[in-house]
Amino acid sequence: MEDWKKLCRMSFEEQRKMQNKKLKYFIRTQVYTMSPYYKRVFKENNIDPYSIETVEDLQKLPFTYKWDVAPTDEEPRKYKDFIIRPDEEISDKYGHIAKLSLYGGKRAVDEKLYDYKPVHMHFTTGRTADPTPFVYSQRDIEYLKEGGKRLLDVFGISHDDICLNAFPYAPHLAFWLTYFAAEASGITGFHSGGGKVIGTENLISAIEDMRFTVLIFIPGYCYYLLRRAAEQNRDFSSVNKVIFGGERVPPGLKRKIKDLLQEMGAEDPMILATYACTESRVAWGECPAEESFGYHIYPDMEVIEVVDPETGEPVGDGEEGEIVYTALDWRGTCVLRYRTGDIAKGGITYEPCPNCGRMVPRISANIQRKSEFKEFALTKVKGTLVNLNALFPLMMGHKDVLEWQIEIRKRNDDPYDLDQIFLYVTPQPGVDSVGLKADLKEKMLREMEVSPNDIIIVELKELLNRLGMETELKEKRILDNRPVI
Amino acid sequence: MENWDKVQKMSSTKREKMQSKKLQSFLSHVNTHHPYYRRLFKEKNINVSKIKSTDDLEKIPFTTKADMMATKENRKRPYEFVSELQKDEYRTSHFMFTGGHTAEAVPIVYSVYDNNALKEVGGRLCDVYQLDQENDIIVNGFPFKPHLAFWQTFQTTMNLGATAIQTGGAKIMGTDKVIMALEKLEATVFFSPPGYALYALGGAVVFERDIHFVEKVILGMDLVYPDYAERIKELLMLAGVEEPRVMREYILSEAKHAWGECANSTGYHTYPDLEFIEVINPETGERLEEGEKGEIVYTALDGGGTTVVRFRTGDLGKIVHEECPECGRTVPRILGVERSSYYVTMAFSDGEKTVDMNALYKLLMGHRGVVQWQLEIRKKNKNDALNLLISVMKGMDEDQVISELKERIPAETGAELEGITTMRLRDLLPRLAFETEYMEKRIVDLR
Repeated sequence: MEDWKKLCRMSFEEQRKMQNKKLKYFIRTQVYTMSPYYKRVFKENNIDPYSIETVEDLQKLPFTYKWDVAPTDEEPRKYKDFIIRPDEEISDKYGHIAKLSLYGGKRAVDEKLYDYKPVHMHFTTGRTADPTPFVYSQRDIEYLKEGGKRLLDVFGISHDDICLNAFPYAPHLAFWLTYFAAEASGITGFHSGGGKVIGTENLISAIEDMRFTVLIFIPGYCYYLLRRAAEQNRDFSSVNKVIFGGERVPPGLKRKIKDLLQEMGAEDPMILATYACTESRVAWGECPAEESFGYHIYPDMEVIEVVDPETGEPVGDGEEGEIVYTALDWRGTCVLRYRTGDIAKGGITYEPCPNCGRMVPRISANIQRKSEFKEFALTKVKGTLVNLNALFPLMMGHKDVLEWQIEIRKRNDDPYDLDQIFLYVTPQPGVDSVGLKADLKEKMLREMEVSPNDIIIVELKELLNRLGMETELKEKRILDNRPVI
Repeated sequence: MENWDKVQKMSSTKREKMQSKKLQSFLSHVNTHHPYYRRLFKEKNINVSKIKSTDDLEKIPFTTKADMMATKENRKRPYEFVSELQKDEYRTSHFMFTGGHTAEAVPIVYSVYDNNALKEVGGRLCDVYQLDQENDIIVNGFPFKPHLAFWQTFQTTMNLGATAIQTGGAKIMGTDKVIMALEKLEATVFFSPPGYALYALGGAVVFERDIHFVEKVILGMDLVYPDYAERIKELLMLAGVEEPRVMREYILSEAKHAWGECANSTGYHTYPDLEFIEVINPETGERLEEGEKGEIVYTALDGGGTTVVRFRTGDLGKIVHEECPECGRTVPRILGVERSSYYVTMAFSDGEKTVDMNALYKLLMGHRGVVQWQLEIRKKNKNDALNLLISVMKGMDEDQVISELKERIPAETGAELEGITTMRLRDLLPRLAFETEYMEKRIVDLR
């Protein structure tokens, strides 16, 4: 790991030089020799690991996809092939020799355990495939802590801050990264486990009583909690930052959150977002500003490419494309050229950040998930690809919409019939529902080129139950109830 | 904190000397930085410099759970126990809450120092349980909450550096995935609340899941009686484990760390450099002799954040100072823990009686004929009516089990049962709510 302050001042050329050096070493000494999956990839594709000398050479490697890593019924343990670990036979052999060695044998064993022994694991959420474990060695935990420290540094969080970690508890990156970040930075934290664990009312009281300055949340649940707190005229004047993770944060939602906090006494709170995926092992954040300048990444821990999702070819700086992640210098579960399925509308930029001046690359804040492009049979002739991503900014940011959910069904519940889209909406109090329905229909048609079969106005309580706001790890915004053939 | 290797072998003379010295310096720190005790010492005219040894502690009044609870007038009351010193390692690191079994949950503040102590205790627990970095694979089955049980186990696994998964329990992952974790990781150690352990491991055995690597089960968060530990052992043997070990952990939120036993029923091994444990007569408050049963009283000798002095735990037990017959450690051990809140006064047709729920747990959890049970308490004609729901073990004579329980329950617990209802396991399990609640609903008070 490099010194973060130094890294933030490194020129692009210096960063690339450092990355090339790290990548070369990583591929030769770790990935090729100790990752069973990639050893196979190199062999099967006839790639000489010594030919990977620069970041550009990565393009010689095929992409890795979610389904390459995710366990299946036939291959439940294939995720293990992505763990960098000394071969068991070699490990036994050398472990034994190291123990017998007169020269620091125990130290050699300890170092090996520190580097490679899995001690902690996170699981993918399993939205689009079976949950996959990603393991961390003790060495990786230090990297995770460093990633967390950098994240808090980017957000400008100091020792005077008190953080509420309201991510729902699960063996997931979001909760644990927040825990390790606070611990490593020496910042006071309350790791609550979210509303499902301690209840929304208790969380509201905790924010008021414990005078948290930083709230770390999933956006949809935060909006729900703040509304309830505002209804009770709670005092949230201590809050100066809200940090979101787990989901994208449309600008309209940021505005609504800010308004609610100001209503409860917070002075000019900053609403910031993170971007991460389980495979990336850490998260990246935006620096505090009214407009977003993108997610600041860590070039000594990863290589980020942005590629055309269709052709796989790299796109230019600042151009839209799919984010491709390559681990650098990690142990545990490592992926190379991993297709995240996330589309960065503004790509990646290597320019210094105009807001904070850090020189590290930044991924555009406008990210959409490819898995939320759904194939619809809206006509009998052919399928249409509908971008449900566009719904989030539209609905979350709509000033007249309190809560919403979209349900996709099959007509007559017949798997071979047409798809139907139903939009459930709870309007803000006092809003004319007829006018709102017409407005939503028109905007959906304009922005998504699809019109819902019906827009159903429902009571807030019913919609909150449908969303599973108090019971689910993440609220169910898009409900795909089409029968599986 | 002292070196554990040294502490665990210390003679009683050295230990008493060390504890008295630590007490002197810590009380002076508490008097300066902890608002509740500063006020208490002033009000009671206690000169802390005159408290020279652990024997002098008796001059200090007890602290109870009620003293720490927030009131309508003073919501900040629990924070009066927290150090005002917010410098270096005394800075607040994070918050936890008490379990809230017997009263409203109280926040417990950990300083950076306390967090380090939690990790250190994690290492000591590994030593007591004989966990091994290279060979043990650990599944933390304690339900997630900002509560000591989950976090102590997390720090134990991190200190050890063994492969571990922090499941968060059934409410977070679902039991199927908890069992899957035991199976797929080839876990050797399972940390779990006792009731849940029987449910999850029993389920794994019934559905023929391969958990034969699970050699050690460490039970905490609730009382575990020797018979119950034996049942878990038998279950593990059915799963193919050759030499299963079941150990217990005593978790006291106010102590900010847990204690473990090295083998079944050897008692919880305490840390004399971190605390002083007394046992008192719960009625008179007088300190009892070693080996006498009474209420356990806890005094911290070190740390920041929330600190308690002479805290009445509400738990009954005894303390012994003699060397552990199993492991040879000389640290004081707590034995025979019961909850005083489990002695409940109830109204029956022939008058008021004290019902010993500890004995009820002991009987039902350890009974081979009872797979699961739940006790419902209702009001009937101003009296308390108790109905026991049980699911009888397959192959056992149902009538015989019922008649035995009808005889033993009043005799051993003082409870007068209105009836015993037998249920199919699949009907009883949803009532116990293993998958949806933080802790299973063993006693349902419908009054």
